[in-house]
Amino acid sequence: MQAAEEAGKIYEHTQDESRVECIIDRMMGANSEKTAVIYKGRRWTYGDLRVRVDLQKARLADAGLFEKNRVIVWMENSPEYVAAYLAILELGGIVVALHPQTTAEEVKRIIRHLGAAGLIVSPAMKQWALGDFEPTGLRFLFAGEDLHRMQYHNSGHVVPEGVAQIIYTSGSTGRPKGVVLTHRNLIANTRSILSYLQLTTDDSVMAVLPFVYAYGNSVMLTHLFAGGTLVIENNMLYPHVVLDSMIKAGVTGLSGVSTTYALLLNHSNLKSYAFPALRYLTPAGGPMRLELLSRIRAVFPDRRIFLMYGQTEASARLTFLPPDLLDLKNESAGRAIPGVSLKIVKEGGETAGPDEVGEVWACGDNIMQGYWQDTELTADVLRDGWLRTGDLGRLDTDGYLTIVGRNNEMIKSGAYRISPNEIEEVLLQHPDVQEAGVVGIDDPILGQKICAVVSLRTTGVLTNQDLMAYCAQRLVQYKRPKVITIVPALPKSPSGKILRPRLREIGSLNVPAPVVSEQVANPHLADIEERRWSKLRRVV
Amino acid sequence: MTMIETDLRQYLVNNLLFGRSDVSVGGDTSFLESGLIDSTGVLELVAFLEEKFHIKVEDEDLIPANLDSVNALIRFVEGKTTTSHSRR
Repeated sequence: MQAAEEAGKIYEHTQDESRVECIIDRMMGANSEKTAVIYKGRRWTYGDLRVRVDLQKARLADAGLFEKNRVIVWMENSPEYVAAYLAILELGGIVVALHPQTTAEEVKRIIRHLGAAGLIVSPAMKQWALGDFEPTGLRFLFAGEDLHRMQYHNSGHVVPEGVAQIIYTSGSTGRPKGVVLTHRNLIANTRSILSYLQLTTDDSVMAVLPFVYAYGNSVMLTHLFAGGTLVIENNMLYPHVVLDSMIKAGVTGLSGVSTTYALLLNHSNLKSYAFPALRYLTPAGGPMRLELLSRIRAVFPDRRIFLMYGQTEASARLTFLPPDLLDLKNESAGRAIPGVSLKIVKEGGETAGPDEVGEVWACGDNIMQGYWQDTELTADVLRDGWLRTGDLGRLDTDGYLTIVGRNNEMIKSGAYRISPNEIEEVLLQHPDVQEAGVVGIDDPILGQKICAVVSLRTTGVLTNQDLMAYCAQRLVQYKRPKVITIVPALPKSPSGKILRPRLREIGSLNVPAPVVSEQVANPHLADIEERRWSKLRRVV
Repeated sequence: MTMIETDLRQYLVNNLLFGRSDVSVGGDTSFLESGLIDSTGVLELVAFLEEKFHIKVEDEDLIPANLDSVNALIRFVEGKTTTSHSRR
């Protein structure tokens, strides 16, 4: 571990490099023989990556990519993803990456929302047909290397200067939100993370998080900025596959969300593995239970563990807790990363004092420009240069932040933030559904799992399995409810507001609540749940 | 179709296809690549295999070669049940 730090080189990035791709191009030039990406057993050097970017650039230029054009990259983590990302930026375009499981319907909606010019689809994507995208106004579509030219419709959107990337995230209104990030945002955030992780050219990370989201994106950028190596493994379902890749590649870092660590701890012989090269772990992407953290520490007692907290709207990162303070500040999400300021704002708008609870606000060069084409929502969260995070927390006298709750209903499941409204809207579009309420309930692997409680217009016409199938056709897998419970009526307050805590109780028990009649749920589902829990109990 | 395959396909229809028996899943179709399964889906599948076929799925068995398609599952279950019988 120490030898790697001494041998590796830490690059000093100069302030005059104002574009992401310029910084990475310098790394590609300086490290052409060094491994940039390991994927499916193959090593891609920075020189190979440079060649691939040039090829992709030539194709995109030929297809008609111009400055400020939005190009959707609908791909899994891969060297081709990295090449497409850099090629778009080098041509002055804007990257909009979408999760590989996104449905064709969602992609179409986002194309129209963006006024996108291009779409790059991985050959691995099977859930679409060319006809799906012909009427969307795209100029071009790449299916792998095959170019399809289309009838472009110029949306006329005015695009701010310096935008590098738009990351779509689930919105509290149910509509997707496009978080607009500039080169300045991404560079500020990446340099700040590098300053405390101290990544060198000898570092390599196990990249299991999707690059399309903020956390995975920051893992990708920090390692490319450092001249390090991305070891890509898209197969987190099978923990042993990930562990074998870690050993084989000799990774020095593991970046994951709670689910990543829970899967490794609960469903592998993690303790029997040795990771001589592993230097650091970065759990982030949502709250981590202390019990889970202590188990991670027990397995990796001598490795540096950086707890981190952030948001897509902050390009990823807002705080980190230095490894040597894990015991002293064991409930804290850490202090602001370099270049970020935090404050706590009370309900009346007054800044809170030490240890007083309020909403967490943040400012810095990493804070987004706003939401794409949504000035109202932007004005709601960006106030005088500060980002309202929507999270409740307190700062202690040393400036360490503790998150005490979320002041919205967003569900955090695995690596994803999901709006209940988005799922409720899909359920309510079913002609036989009268009411729908969606909540997240605690899950030892996912953090939270999605639970839907539904009432029908006519009893007996639908089973929860019918509704599962309905959701499967309309929602990407990670947004689909794991449990759907059918009840005669949703629990409500006297004013008619749905009582979400009661929905959580119904979902947690997966048995009839007092308002629930005999028509509840498919008993088979409850059996599966019980068997799953017994399996977990056995393993834990 | 063997009894094992019948049971596995029934599970597939009920739990991964949510009752859609009209959807055809090839014997070698990857559950992962086709988006049919996620991490909790794998754990549910394991619980089903243990109960239905009276086998023990070890953590080291959780690899795609054993679980990621109908044919892989058939081979895995047959292998496990054979081992189990030969030990009796």
